[in-house]
Amino acid sequence: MTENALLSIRGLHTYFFPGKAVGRAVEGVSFDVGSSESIGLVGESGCGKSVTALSILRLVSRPGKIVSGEIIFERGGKKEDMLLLSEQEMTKVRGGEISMIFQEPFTSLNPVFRVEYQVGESAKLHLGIKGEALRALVMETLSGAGIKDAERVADSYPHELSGGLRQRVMIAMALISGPKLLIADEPTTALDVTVQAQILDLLADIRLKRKLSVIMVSHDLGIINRICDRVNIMYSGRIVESSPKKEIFSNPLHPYTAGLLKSIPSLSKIEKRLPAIPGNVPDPFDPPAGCRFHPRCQKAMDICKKTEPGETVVDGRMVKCWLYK
Amino acid sequence: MARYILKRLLLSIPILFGISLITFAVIHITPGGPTVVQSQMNAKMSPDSIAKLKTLYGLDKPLHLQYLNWLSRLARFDFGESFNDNRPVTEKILERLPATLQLNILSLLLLFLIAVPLGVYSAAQENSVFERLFTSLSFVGYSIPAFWLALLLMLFFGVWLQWLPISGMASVNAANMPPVLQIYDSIQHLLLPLFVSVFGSIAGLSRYMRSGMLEVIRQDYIRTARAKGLPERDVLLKHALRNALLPVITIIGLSIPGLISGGFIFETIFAWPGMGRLAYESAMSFDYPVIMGVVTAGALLTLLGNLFADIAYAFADPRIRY
Repeated sequence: MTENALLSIRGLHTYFFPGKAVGRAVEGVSFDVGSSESIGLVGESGCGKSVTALSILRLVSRPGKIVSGEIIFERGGKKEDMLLLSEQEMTKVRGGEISMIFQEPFTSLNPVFRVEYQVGESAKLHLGIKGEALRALVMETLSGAGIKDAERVADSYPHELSGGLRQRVMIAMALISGPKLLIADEPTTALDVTVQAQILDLLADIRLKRKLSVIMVSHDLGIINRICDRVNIMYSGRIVESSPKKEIFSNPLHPYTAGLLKSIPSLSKIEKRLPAIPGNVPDPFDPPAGCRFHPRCQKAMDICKKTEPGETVVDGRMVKCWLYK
Repeated sequence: MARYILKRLLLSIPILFGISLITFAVIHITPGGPTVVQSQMNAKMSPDSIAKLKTLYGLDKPLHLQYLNWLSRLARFDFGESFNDNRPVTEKILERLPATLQLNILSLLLLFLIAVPLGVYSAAQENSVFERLFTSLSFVGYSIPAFWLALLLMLFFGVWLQWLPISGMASVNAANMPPVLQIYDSIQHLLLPLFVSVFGSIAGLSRYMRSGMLEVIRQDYIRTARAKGLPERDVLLKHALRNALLPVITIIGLSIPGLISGGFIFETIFAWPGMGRLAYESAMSFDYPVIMGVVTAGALLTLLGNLFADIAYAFADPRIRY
């Protein structure tokens, strides 16, 4: 779409091959992330959003495999397809140019190493600094992640810290080498609501300070609303709608997006029962024919059951739905 | 920590007591006895002299008195005297200990040096040809009985090829050899027993190591390490191995009693003059004091080994505090 995108994903297919079956977790995902832009990747559990995020860093583990597609990333003024890079080049991208933080701060830190070592490891690797300079940078980055007593935290083991602190440590670890893009995979899902808000504020703040591009993966539209400029709605391995944030909340195009918005509880009106989208996310090993959403869609037509809709552009927004053809 | 160690040591007293009581009961329930063994082949033994022997050994007293007697001597670190040659049990054990220690320490070292890297490597190569080969070979290695392998190797290297001596720790004339040849001679004697004892354990430990690594590799923090940009080698050898090695501490702790007890069958086959053979010989001749001595020493070391493992855990794993 845009010429000056930092990251362009085109036709990404990531499948899982346990035994003979094929699980089509990501099937033809394309989107762009501009410089200092924040993109939301939203959908229910199992829609392929996390696999998409992991695919960007080529961290999908067996039996998962990126089958086809392009992930074009701007490195040192040149655009390179990361799927063609050597594993050695990829290690420079990971943590150095693109960082990732994960959902579970409780299990995402290595239990046997101190925080200082784990945070510093990335800078040692990508910036080549060590000793006092490294320690100083670790302290600075920990403070930058909103940790007040950085010295104490640096000398702690992960199990000695609270969930919120651990996620701040994860964020510091991701940022220490100065990446251009941060991928956050449900970074607040495992945290208390108050801590969630603090972490989101921190991410919003850091994003502006560091002019960072962000891909925020979440099932929670409330979180997306606070951080993102543009939202991609994923369903069954595809992006079904891509719109600027303001428009997606005021005027959702895809029936699935509308369903997601309706299922957010509102404080202003008291509802007896929250409307939910009936049914479940399709099984990636046995998806329905036609539009993947049609069995759950209230507006489904005959054509939806037979043929999958292509991309339609409506007022500069992208949607995959027969309603707009 | 000191409190914890003291508590554990005090707790081991009743356990040791229980072990000795059970051992004592079992060896006395077993049919036969020292007087039977010593008299059945001798037609001249009269019932009268058998009774005298029993009095000599103190076997005519009620069982509970025999046990209390043994216990009261143990409290003074006195394991009693052997029925066979009337020498102190402590002396007999200390005499056999070096041979067993030499073999077992070497074999334990070799075992860890080979099995740990092997397990790690095969975990890193999951689903490769190497890993499949490793899995099938380790299954074979695990299944081969040590005594059978020992006999085959003795036949092959000792009898057919005549490269290696088949038994004992040294040649008969070793004492007259110059020191360099003496060392060469003992190495030659060591090779077969060492190989057999290491071979049997490699399969078990390396598979344990492999499954530990595979479990650790699936953890979230390994994904974090990869996302940082660490090369796969560092991910495995720094982040994964440190965690996968923790359970190995338990194995080391459990191996400590094995260091002195030796293999019964194993040492007997190779005529290795160690603790295992001592235990075997004393069991065959109903030498009660020696059996009790060997078992008690083994039990004590098992308890100490477990304690050692627990203490080592506290140092290796920051999550564990006592």
